Amino acid sequence: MQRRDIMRMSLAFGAVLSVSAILSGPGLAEPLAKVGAAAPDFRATDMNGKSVALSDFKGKTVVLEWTNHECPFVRKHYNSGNMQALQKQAVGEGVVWLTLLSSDKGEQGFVTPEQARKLTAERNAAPSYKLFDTDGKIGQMYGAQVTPHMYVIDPSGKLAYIGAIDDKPSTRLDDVKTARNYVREALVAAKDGKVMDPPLTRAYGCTIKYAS
Amino acid sequence: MRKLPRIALFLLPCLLGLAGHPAEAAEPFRSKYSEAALVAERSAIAPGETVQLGLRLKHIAGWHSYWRNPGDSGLPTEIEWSLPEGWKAGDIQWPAPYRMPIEGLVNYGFKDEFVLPVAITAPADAKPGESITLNANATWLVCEKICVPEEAELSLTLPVAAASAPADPRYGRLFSAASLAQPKPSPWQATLGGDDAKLKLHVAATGLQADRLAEAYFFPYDGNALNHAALQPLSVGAEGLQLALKRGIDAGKPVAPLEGVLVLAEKLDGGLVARQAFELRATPGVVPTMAAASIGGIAPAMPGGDVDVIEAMLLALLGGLILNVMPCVFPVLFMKALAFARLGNAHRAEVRREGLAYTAGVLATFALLAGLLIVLRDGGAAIGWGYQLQHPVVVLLLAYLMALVGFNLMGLFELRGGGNIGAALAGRGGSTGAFFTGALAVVVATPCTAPFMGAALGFALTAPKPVALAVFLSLGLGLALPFLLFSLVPGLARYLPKPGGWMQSFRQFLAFPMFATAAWLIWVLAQQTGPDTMLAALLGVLALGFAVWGWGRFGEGRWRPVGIALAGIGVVAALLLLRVPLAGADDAAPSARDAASASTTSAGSMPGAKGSAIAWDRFDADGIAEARRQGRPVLVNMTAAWCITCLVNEGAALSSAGLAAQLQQRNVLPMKGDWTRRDPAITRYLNEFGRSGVPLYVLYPADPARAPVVLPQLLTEGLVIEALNKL
Repeated sequence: MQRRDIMRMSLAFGAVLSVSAILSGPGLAEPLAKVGAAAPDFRATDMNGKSVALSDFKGKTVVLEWTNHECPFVRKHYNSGNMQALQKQAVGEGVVWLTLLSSDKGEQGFVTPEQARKLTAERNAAPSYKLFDTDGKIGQMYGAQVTPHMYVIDPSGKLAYIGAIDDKPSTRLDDVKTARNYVREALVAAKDGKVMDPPLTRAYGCTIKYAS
Repeated sequence: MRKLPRIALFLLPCLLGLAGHPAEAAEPFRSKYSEAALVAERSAIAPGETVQLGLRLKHIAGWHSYWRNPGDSGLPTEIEWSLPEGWKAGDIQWPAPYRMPIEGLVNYGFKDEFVLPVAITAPADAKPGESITLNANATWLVCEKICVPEEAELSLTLPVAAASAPADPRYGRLFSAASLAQPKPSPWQATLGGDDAKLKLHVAATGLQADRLAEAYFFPYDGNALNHAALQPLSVGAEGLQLALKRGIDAGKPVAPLEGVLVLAEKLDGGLVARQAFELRATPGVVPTMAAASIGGIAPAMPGGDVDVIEAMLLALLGGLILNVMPCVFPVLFMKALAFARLGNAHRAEVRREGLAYTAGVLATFALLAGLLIVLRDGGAAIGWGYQLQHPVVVLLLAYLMALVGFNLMGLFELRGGGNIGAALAGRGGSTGAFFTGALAVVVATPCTAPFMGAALGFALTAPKPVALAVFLSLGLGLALPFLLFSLVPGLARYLPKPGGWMQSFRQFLAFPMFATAAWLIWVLAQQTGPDTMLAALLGVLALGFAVWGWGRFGEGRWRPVGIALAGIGVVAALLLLRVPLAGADDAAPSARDAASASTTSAGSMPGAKGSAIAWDRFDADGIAEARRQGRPVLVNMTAAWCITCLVNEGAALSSAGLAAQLQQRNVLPMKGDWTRRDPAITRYLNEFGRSGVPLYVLYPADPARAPVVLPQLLTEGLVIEALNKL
């Protein structure tokens, strides 16, 4: 009670003296990635030890998928086969699919390269690369908040879609059948050179367990 | 064979002696993280009656489930009913949620044990004596850092009774908590302004006192409307309160009406904080600019991070440092610094002494401020410091002071004589002068800091005295620090520019920020009162200018009497003009309060809410004894227009027709005292009960020998009726 009052008092000082920057938490930092803007470049190591950069895929459509295999929302899309089907269809069309792992060591969703390979095989997943972002820098840069958080980058390198995988925020497997799949739509739009509508939705899922 | 189940259904309860027994939940659902069951507020339901049922959830420590808008992640809890024919279930009546920061995101939800109420209506042809089993499938997501989806098939067997059944005592506490947390219709208009990125939510809650608010937060229904993680800085002014909101996914779209729940936590007596929730719909429109706002950054509500005393003191120190460059403080300090430079290294000891004296002056003034606060607090004056600083007369006096300092810097007059404030200002006068320069620095800093001082002092109201004092002294030390360094570290003075003719020009130049501050204060005054006061203020400054001109021109030599006369005329005129805002403060400012208090006094309801069925008598201490002599119990209700909790209690618990009937039936005399304008008789009455503020509810049994019962500050209808039953 008293401590909270002290904190409020401090915040009052902060607000008026415009030193809010000192007080604001990491969540308040503006991410670089914005719909319609160029997707910021990054480099990361994949589960097979290969170093991969976003700029390696110039001229191609790229999907970014943030994941955490223990998250119930991620499980909904893998246990139903929804995510794998999306991946296969996309990769078959020449899209580059990057799955990102931003869980910190010791947190839910953290895996070793070996576990990542095993999970990919077990679940019959088909991303182009599975990338480690253990320090969370890429995730923070893109403002990824939850798993699964989905991004579609068009061939010109601009972010065409950011948000949820579909419009049914739930953990029920059955919902994937009736949901409107935004990622699929964004990929079709990118292929046709059209603008995805909506280009931005609220992602649903588990909070990403970033390194603090 | 086909008939058997029906007969069994009919007979079984009788055979087992179940009829008339309270509602029975099947085994509750239990998992590692949660316990869930269906519960009913009453032990039975009558045909056609609507009874509150609820999903009772209990999560293990640190885990939570979600509100209808879960925030940045999570899922709302869902209940799917399968009811016998004719039975109806409403939607979940969501209690006001809590804000839960996690990993830089913010979720909205509930912790520990709570009930999500749902209204269940029995068909008119339900047969008394029957027992009905209600089934529901509930799904929720329970999270700490990680999340687990849970699902339970729940059922509740509810006897149908001929008449309304009494409340089930087992769940009274949970249902009453849910009812207190239920958003009430907002008694205030809400307007929404803003641009592509930001919104300003204006709630026309006039007459609120900033220092009674511990928290203000708006929970939007639509998850796309706002950035959930962004803080919602609060301003409170005469026009109402405003929250600065950051837009979410919908940023860039046209500003649309915003619906949601506004939570206002109000500080009550005894360290109690009442969390009041209002449902509102803000329509896009013109948001008024608030003239003199008390600003508070309201911290995250529920698990709140820890900032220790040292950290708070460091922040205060930083705040004090920044005060040095504020337009109202800088000129004064700069002149003093130049005086130091003039003294130079030859007078090191003197410079050091003055630096210390100045610091002492600043600290003493801050200690005085903190002391004043404590006196105010202990005196039970709920009128807050923020309000004092917003008083039109105080604003005008500050404008006068700014103008005077400006005139002095311009060279219109000089002040002489050792040891007074003027001497310090002119850069003479030794240690005593330096001490008062310190005091003056704090006073002239007021217009630049008043809003935040008000808020900070308001927060300090609940902080323990030593902590509040430490924080305020740190602020003072920050203000004094640059000057202190100059006086203590010999080398630093070398970096000051060399004294010379330019100093006169610069000194005159510095008058302009002071005049600008005066202009701003007069504008604030005009906003608070009206154009008449603005004219009075301008004439007052003119009169002061005349006074100091007369004094400066004729203050010495044989024309001295003329100088004194001219100065006298000017000063008297300026002081007489203070009467205009004073009168305005008495007429204009309370007019809004009167309107609000009139509505509480006469209608006894929240503005906009439906009128109370209770006919309140005006509070009269002698009337209590008189009524009891006549064998009547008395219910005393002490309220004020600016007390949110009072409004909520009167709009909900105290305005029900049921309670009105009970009071009439028992011949209870309801009495209401309005403390909006601090009636001394009510203050005395509050003190008798050890209270320094409203609300206060007291129930007197008719028997004068029996002691009165003080009811809780947060009322429900049931609570009052229960107290009446015990009479």
